[in-house]
Formats: sequence, structure tokens, C-alpha cells
Amino acid sequence: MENGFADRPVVVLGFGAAAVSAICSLRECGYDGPLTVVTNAGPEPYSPVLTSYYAGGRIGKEQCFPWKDVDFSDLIDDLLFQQTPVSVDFAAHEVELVDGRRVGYSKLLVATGAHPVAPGFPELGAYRPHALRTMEDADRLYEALVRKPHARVLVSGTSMVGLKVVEACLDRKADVTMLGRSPHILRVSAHPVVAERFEQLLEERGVTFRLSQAVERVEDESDASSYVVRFSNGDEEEFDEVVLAQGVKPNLEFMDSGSVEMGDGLVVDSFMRTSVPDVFAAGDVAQALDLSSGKKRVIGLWQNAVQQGRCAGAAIAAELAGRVPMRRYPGSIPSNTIYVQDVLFASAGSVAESEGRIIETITSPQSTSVFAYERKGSKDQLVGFNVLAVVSPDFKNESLVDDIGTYRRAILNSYL
Amino acid sequence: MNDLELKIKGKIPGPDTGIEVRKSVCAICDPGTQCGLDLYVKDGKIIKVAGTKEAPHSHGTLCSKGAATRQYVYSPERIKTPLRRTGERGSGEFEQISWDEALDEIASKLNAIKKKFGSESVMFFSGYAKWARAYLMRFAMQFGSPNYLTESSTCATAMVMAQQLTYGAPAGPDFKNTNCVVYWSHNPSATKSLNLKGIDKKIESGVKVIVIDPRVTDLAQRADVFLQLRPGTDGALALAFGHVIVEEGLYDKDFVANWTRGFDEYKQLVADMTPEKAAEICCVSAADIRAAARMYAEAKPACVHFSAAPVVHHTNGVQNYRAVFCLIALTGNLDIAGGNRMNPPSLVHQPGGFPTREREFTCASKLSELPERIGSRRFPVWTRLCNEAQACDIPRQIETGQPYPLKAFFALGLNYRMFPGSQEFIDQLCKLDFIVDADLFLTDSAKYADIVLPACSSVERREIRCWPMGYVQFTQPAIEPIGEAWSDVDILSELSKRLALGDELLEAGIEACVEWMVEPSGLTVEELDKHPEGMWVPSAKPPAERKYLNNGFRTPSGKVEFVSSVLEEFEGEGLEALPSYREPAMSPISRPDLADEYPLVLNLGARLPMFQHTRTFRLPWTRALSPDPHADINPEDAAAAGIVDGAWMTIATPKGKVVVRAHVTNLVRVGDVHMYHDWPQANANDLIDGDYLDPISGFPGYRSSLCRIAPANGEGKGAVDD
Amino acid sequence: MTRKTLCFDSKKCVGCYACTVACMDQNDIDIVGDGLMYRHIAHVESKQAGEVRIVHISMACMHCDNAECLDACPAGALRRDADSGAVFVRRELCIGCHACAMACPFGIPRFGRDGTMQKCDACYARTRFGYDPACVEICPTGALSYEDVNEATAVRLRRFSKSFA
Repeated sequence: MENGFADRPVVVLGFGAAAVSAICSLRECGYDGPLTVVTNAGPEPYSPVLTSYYAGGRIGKEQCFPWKDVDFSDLIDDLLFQQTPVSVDFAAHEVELVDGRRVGYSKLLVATGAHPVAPGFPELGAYRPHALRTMEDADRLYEALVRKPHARVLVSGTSMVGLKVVEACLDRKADVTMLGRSPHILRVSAHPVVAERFEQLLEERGVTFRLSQAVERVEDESDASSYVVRFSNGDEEEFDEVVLAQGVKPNLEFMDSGSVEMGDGLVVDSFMRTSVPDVFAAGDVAQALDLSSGKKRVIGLWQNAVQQGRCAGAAIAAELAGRVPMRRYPGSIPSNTIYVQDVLFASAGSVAESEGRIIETITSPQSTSVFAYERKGSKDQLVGFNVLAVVSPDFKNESLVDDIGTYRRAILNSYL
Repeated sequence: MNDLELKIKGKIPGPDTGIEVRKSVCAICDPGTQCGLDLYVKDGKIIKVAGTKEAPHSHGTLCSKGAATRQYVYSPERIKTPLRRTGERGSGEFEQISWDEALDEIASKLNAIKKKFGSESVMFFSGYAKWARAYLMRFAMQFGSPNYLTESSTCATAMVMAQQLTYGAPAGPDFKNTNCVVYWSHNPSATKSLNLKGIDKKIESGVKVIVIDPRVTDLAQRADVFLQLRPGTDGALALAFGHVIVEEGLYDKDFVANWTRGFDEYKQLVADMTPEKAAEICCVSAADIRAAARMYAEAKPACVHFSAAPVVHHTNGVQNYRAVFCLIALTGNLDIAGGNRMNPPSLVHQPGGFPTREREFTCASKLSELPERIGSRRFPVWTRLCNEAQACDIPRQIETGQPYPLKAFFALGLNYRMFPGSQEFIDQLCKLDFIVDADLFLTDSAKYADIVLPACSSVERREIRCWPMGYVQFTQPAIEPIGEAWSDVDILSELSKRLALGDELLEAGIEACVEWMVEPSGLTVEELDKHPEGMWVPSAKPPAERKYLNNGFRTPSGKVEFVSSVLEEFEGEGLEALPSYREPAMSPISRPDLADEYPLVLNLGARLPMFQHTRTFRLPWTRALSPDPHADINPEDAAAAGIVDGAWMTIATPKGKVVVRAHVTNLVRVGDVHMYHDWPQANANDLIDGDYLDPISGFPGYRSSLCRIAPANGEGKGAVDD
Repeated sequence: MTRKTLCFDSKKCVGCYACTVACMDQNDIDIVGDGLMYRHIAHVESKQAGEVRIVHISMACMHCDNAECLDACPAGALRRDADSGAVFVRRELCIGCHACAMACPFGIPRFGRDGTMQKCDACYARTRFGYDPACVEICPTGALSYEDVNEATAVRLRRFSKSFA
């Protein structure tokens, strides 16, 4: 490297799936220089995907740390935990931390993840509503659900995270209400026909829905252990806990949007390079290629984070060794699976109704599925699907469920 | 996981894991395979099976059936103790009794029946298992009954008869040394997968392959000529081969001149069967027939790989195979290297290249002193050629009491569904005074017995087996018997004491019997016991070529008989001395009247690789691979009947109807229905009459009759789920 | 030790199911209970110009070099065995989320009644100690083999080079 920063460490901001994957990849690709990791969490990386399982009591807390077998002291020279970056000086190749320290870098990987947001949700006074992202969030929800059996829980937001909270609540025998502004849950990923069936199935399993509604006001009860929520339709209902699961936003407050190309996240090329030299991004902060739209956008998925981290690590190692990076991130499509009790929902691509699309619906007593096709040349090409199925204990009706991977591959093949 | 935990997971044998490998043989399909079993035993229990690497035949491999040995041995349906029937026959209601009670009751009942009705009124029957047959026959002879019978009344024996009638004794293919092999109805993919590696190598080396089969098989795809004939027309095809070979002068003139009987008559017979005529009968091309006939005749040495049942499961089965076997003699490929060679059995139907006294052990010579056997009037050729009684005649004799009444049935294994018109068979059996069955599982047939005895599987007992290359194994039990199970030979030995048969050798038990049988070979039990995995027999010799030069053939004329002198004796009873072609008794050509209503040819008995009759039906591992009864039909026939792949359909014959799943496949001819047999809930063998038999052998015409198919329309579906 | 790999030759496979059952025996699969088959056989028929062909394919997890299931598992339940390269699942860590099922292009991950994933692990607990995988050990035709990667390449190239003859 010609710019005089070569002796500095590679700095990784964040310690989640993308960061860990990048760190492993860096070392596998032969980078043996110094490596510094900055994380606002503890010294052990955990999987945010597992936090709802922990909160619901399905797994122990120790199981939330999927990299227990990895000896990070072999890989990382300097681990700065419970630290937050406040700014990056691209010219000086330095990151400023909240305690005032400045950490110089040769290459910087931004993999700081995302945090929950709740636009439009009214203030709750002294009460801090729950979210589900970090281990602290999970600890708090865990305690709340254990403390009060049959707690009345309001989950605001009908996204995947919202459903995971619902699953945790059902596991804890809580009395759960799901609130959403849209007429149906999973507005982005589920076709209305599937969403409606999903809602029915969840109702049968004890979930109450307040759809096409919003919260107008929240009042503390006198003993401050519960809250009266007034909804946009005029209803009032009392809850013990409120969980906000309306969406997430990348943790990029420390980045100057004026000097780096940013949308929702940091725009990256296929080697996870941002518009600023020596700065890379991966995971929930990276705006990478969405194959289905051809546009760059954040698709916050575990698998994307892992694969992007790997590409970033390889690219950083290559550049530091004076080689041209080889491992390209191919882009991805949105895809998700969620299990609530015995109901599995899997989706990939897009099933949105639009001009020229053929939507096929398959319904059986145990399942509802939607397949979206677009005409490409002389063939109808699969561009998205939803599979919703009650997976019975004798798993005789799983054939559609078994095929979700092949459907996803069919969609990917149409773009690759 | 640490290394030890991993080893335990991997089932790695050794002192650290406590896993020991013990050797046995698999007897699930029997006896052409008898693959070597490695049993991984821990704390007295089998935890894994594998093939025995040093086994000379199977080379460390097994098929799906043998691989499921663990579930076969530890099936919850194994009979644990002797049982006495308490409910109706067939009800399955039994009480547990002790071995002493069971054996005393059997002994006293059999002796009482013997006293009152004569010893011939007691039948001694062996089911599928082959290993204890010599002991059972000896037992029957010592008891004084000529009625030693086996399920080989519907399997293999007729094929042996066709060879005996033609050239005196079976002559197996010498595959190793051949230039050309004709697979005449043989599908090793389903029945002998362990042979495939050798076949593959041989084909790679350039051997010519001719496959004759009504189905497209894996082997057929690799054949130089594949003749997909109409079921039951093998005889016509073989005669057309003869036509080409004679017409073109491709036959072995010296051999034919010196060592055959009736060539002129044969010449006339084949002159009439032109390839064009046969092409019409068999639904294959005349050009292919010519090509195949020339290939076989010119490739010398060339061999014919035949099989036990498919060709002889026709109403003209023995003659059809006789026509095939005549070709071996015609081309001079008999008893030469690379041709079909006579190699007498040493033990359990298998040639070992060493002499034994197994045949003497059976005491078959006593037969001449005993009353006539079941079936001897109806199937005199069978009785002439074979030491057994013909079990397909049992229902008739029970029904009529002619020539004498039958009263008791003692079986080492019985599956009544092996017999045509199975229901009538078991209905007649129910009229007997006393039925005993020793079996592994409480089968539907065992439920009809008055006393049921728990038998050992091969891994719980000792047995002696040999292989054609001169290898022998006297196995040791790998595990303790399940429950109170006994080896069949122990049952016979103990029972012979209680019946006071005075048979010291049998009473002395299996080691003494084996010692006596193998004595001429120079082997001893002491030596055999040193080699639980088996050993090469020092005295074993490969069979000599052209043994007939010294001894002639074991036919009445001492020659190969195109015109059979045995069959000649029965010409008055409608049998023919020449291997003439006759249509199956029920075919679209022989019965056009029936064919209007039943237009399709029904072929019962095709095999699937995971099943051998019913023997692995009850094992979850094999059953999961093919859970429902089904039949193969061609897409054209399926479309015409409005049946889709996987749908339930009915197969109806004038005799009855079954409901099965349709497997729509191009592997079968248009117009054929191939039904997999032995399903309790869809018994194919009940679709034909008990007297739909080959008059020479008494074999059922399972592989060609007439049927029709139709969508099941919901019918039977519930009943089919068992 | 050179790396070995599971090889399959469709020309030799006759669809006999020995591999399928041997796999169940090795892995103690309770097929009527919670167990699932790891290895399957497909019989593929075709008809061209009147000639009928059938090919049998024995299939289980491919243990992909770029195993997407490994990337997709958020629970650390999927691992790659460093010695053999086998991808295996630690069921005690599996949360049953089906992310691997979504990632696998072959539909290999299957879930038992306890909700956890089950699949072939290429018998890494056997190959570690020099034993072949159970499916290979039993295969009567040699269609399945466990070969040195170099030998496997050599065989493939020999086959390819025949096209020049």
C-alpha cells in the first residue's frame, strides 16, 4: 500500500455475523497483520437471530453464542468491547471512539449491524418498551415474560421480528396481541392470501390481531405495572408489556453521509467496497445487490451477512497483499423462514402483484402457498414464493416445505 | 466429541469401543447368494451389519435386504416362545407354552396320526429357507413319510427338470471364461446385485451380451441384442434361435452327431419356427432374433444364464426352458469352459468342488420303499425326476382324500401365498387335524398352526455353506437366540428323540451331522471351527470339462435328448417328447374369448430389490422404500384406462381382483401388467386358479394369464393401508 | 493424509437401495419414529426414438464446497469437519428454523419430530479412522466410492480422454 497506512491494523467495527465471517475469512486468506475489533457488545459475539428463542425459553442463554468453538484470541489482536465509534476520518484513516480514543486503520470494515426503530409510536413516559435485537433486549424480555405468567403483551409491528416475539410470547404462555398499520401481517414478504391464512392459524393458536390500526396514546396505570393503550379505532386495552418490532435501521450514525455514498446503508460494490477507498461494509449496514430488482439495497439476513463478511475479508486480504480481489458477492434475493408453533412460513423473491405477473395459489387443508411467475422469453420464470404450512408431528404434508430450497434456487437461477 | 465418542458414533470395532465383528452368512435370499455378514456386536447385541470382505462371492458387499439384517433379527414380530393355538385357525390367538410341552405334544400327535392313518398322512414341508432341508428330508424319511415337500414346488425345480430332461443335470453358466452370455430372464439389479461388479467388468472387456426379458432392465440397456418378448413365449423364441442355427449350419455337428438323441425330429420342429413366425408370436423383430442366434452360436464358448422361476412359471414352462437348453447342446457349449458346465452340488444346492454325503444324508433312497408321494399321479414326470412331493397338489389330495387322506402338516416355515389360488390352499390346509410351523415371525401362515415354534435366524445358529470356488464356512452363532428361539436342526434333532425315530446321527446334533456329511472331502468340524469366517477347501477341484466323454449324460439314453425319452413315456397323457411351443393357457391368442374382457397379459412375480418374497416386508427400513403393493403398467395402457402414476387401480382376472398402486413406466411392454407378489392385502397369487399349472412340473403359470385394469375410484384404499 | 471425497458413478448404479439401508443401519434411523432417510434413490426414465433408458441416482447431502446451509445457519449447528470436509449438523444446537432448508438447492435438510434437522454427515466419524462411509462400504456395484481426490480426478480425466481415441 502506497498511502502510508499499511502498518496500521485492519479495523472491524461490529462483532456480529458479518464481522466474525470477515475476520475468519481475512485470516484464512492469509492476512497475518494486526486486527482490531470494536464492538458495542460484550467480548463474546452472539447471534441476534437466537435471542427470541432464548427469551421464549427454547434454548439457554449460552446457546446464543454460536462461535464458542472459535478461539478469537488467535485471530484478533485488539478487541475493544463495549465501545462505540462516533466518527470516521476517511482522510486520516482513523475511527474516533466514544471515549475519545482514535484508532487508525489500514482497511476499515463497517459491520455494525442495525437497531430497532419505532416511527410513530407515542412516548410511554417512564416505561421503556421492549425491543428484540441485543442480548440485553433478550434478557429484559426473558425476565418480563418469566416474571408475570400469562402477561398481556402488545407487539407493535408485523414483521419477521414481530412474529419471532409472538413465538417467544406463546412459548411463555403470554397473552399476545399483534398490532399493525397494514391490513395484513408481513406486508413486504407475504402475499395477502397467505398472510390472511397465517393470521387465521395464529388466531387459532391464541394470538389476537389489531390490523389496520395504530396506537394513539398510552397511559401508565396507577401502580405502573401495566399500561392502558388507546388504539386508533377508539378501543382501549390494558397490557403488561409492549414490544416494538416495527423495523430496524443500520447503525451508521457515526458515518458522514456527505463523504460516502449512502442510502439506507452504505452502498457497496461486489467486493463490499464503499465509495471511500479502504472502507468496506458488510451485513445489515451494507447496501448490496438485490438480484430481483437489480438495485442495491439492504437485505438484512444472516446468510447475506456471513457471505458478505467473507467477501469483504477476502477483498481486504487481497488488497493488502497487493492482489486483485477475486471472491465476488453475487447479490441475493430476499428470503425468510419463520416458525411460529407448528406453522412454518417461508418466502423468497417477491410475490407482489404487478403487471405481467402470474400468481398461482395452492391451498390444502394444511397449507397455503403462492408462486409468482414472470414471462421471460418463452418461459414462465419463478420470481417469488410463499409457502405456509402446518407441519404436523407425522410430517406427512411437508412436500412443499421440503422444496423451499429448490424454489429459492430456481428464482436465483433466473437472475444469475 | 473426543476420539472415543466419535469412534462409538462411527461404530468402529476395537477394544476401546467394545465393538466386536463376528462372521455369519445372510440367508434372507437363498442359496445362490449367501453373502458373508459382518456383525458388529456390542454387549451381545448387533449394532451394525456390513459385508464380509473375505467372502469369496460377495466381497464385502450386501444388498438392501441383507443391510436390513438388524431389523430382521430384532423384529418385534419375532416369535419368542413356543405357542399353542387357543383361537380359531388364522385368528392369531395363542398361549405361550414351554419347549417341553410343545415337543411332547407334537411327538404324541404325530405318532398317533401315524398309527391311525399311516406315516404318509403326515407332510413335512420346508418354506423358503434352504439350509435345513437335508435334515428335514432325512427326518421325513426316518418318520416314514414320502411327503417331504418344499416351496420349491413353485420355484426353481421346474428349471432343474427342464435340464434333467434334456441333459441329465443342471449346467450353470461359466461366466468367467465365456465370450458371449445370454441372460434368459435374469435381472440381477433386483435379485443378485452382488454379481453386478463382475458383470460390469466382463462387459467392459468386450463379452457379447444378449438379454431376453419382457422388461427393460439395467442389463438390457447394456446388451448387444435385447429381445423384449411377450411373456410366456420363450419357447418360440428359442426354437427360432434353433431354426437360424440349423439353417445356417452354425451348430456343432460332431457333438450333435455323437451326443444327442432326436436331432432329426428337432430339426423338423425348428424348421417350422422361422424367425418371422417367432417374431410374430414373441412381438420382437426377426432381424434381432437372427442377430442374437448368430451371435450366440458363433461366439463359442458362449453360455446361457438362466433363472429359477420366470421362464418356468408358465403353463408350458418346462418345454419353453427345454427349448432354450437344447440350444446349449446344439452349439456344443455343454460342459465346456465358458459354456454351461455341470458342477454337482456339495452342500445346500451349491457346488463347492468337493465331495460330500449330503444326498446320502437325506436318506432319499428310502423313497422307493415308501407309499406314493403327493402329486405323483398328476405330475408323474416331477415324481420321476425329483425327490420331493409336489405341494401344488396338496389341496386336491386333502379335498378328495385320494389316493390316501392327509392329516398333518409339519412345516419349517410356510407362506401359503406362494401357492396359486392361495386362499383355497390354506382353506384345504385348515381341514387337517394338526399343523405345526416353526418360523421367525408370527406370519399370516403361522397363525393357522396348532403349535408354533420360534426358529433362529442365520446369525443365531450354526450352519454350513459352500461356494463354487471351493470355499466353505461352518458359521458360529453371532448372538444368543432371540427369546427362546431354536435352530431348525435342533428342533428336528430333539423331536426325533421324542418320536423315537432311532436316528442316532440326527439325535447327536448339527456338529455330528456336518462331520458325517463332509467326511469324503477330508474336512473336519475341528478344522472348520478354526475358521469362523470360512476357509478354502484343500481338496476342492474345479469341475472337469466334458465329463460326458467318460460317463455320458444322466438321461435314459446317456445322450442329450432333443426328444426326451422320459416325456415320450407320457405321450399318451398329452405330454410331448419334443420341446414344442404352446401358447400360455390364458393368452390373448389362446383365449381370444377371454381377451375381450381381459385384454392385458398379467405377469406375477417381478422382483423389487428390497424384497425377497415377504421376507423383508415387515422391516421398516425396507418397507419404507416401497410401502404399498403396486404393479407396473405401460403409459399407453395407463392412459387408455384413465390411470395416472401412483394412483390406486384394480387388477381383475376371472378369478378375482386386487387393488394396488399403478406404477406407470416404459420399462414394461404395452399390454403387460407386472404385479409384485406376496402382498397380504393384495395377493397376486390369488388372481389365478390353483390348477393353472404346467402339466409336466405342476408349476403355476404365474407369469402369463389375462387381466384388466381400471381406476380404483377410492375402492380398497383404506383396506390397503395395513 | 490426502483428502478423500465421496464419488458417484451413475453408469454403475442399479438403484438397489443397499446404500439407503446401510445408511439407516449405520445411523440407527428409526424410520417409523423420528428418523428420516439420509440417502435416496431416483430412477430416471427416458424414451428417445423408441428406446427406453433408465438411470438410477443415489443421492444424499453433497457436502458442497460452498455449502450455503453452513452460511445460513444462525445457530452454529452446522459444521464442517476439518479432516474430511463433511458438513454435519449438531442437532443439540439446531433451533429448527429451516434457514438451511431455504439455502440448500437440493432439498437435503429434513426435520424430525423434535424439529431439528437431520442429514448425511458423510460418516465423518468413520472416515476419521480410515473406514469408508457405510453407503460406500456396502455398494455392490462400486457406483459409490470414497476416493482420494487425486485418484477421482484421474479417473474422470481417463474417462474424458477416451473421447480422443
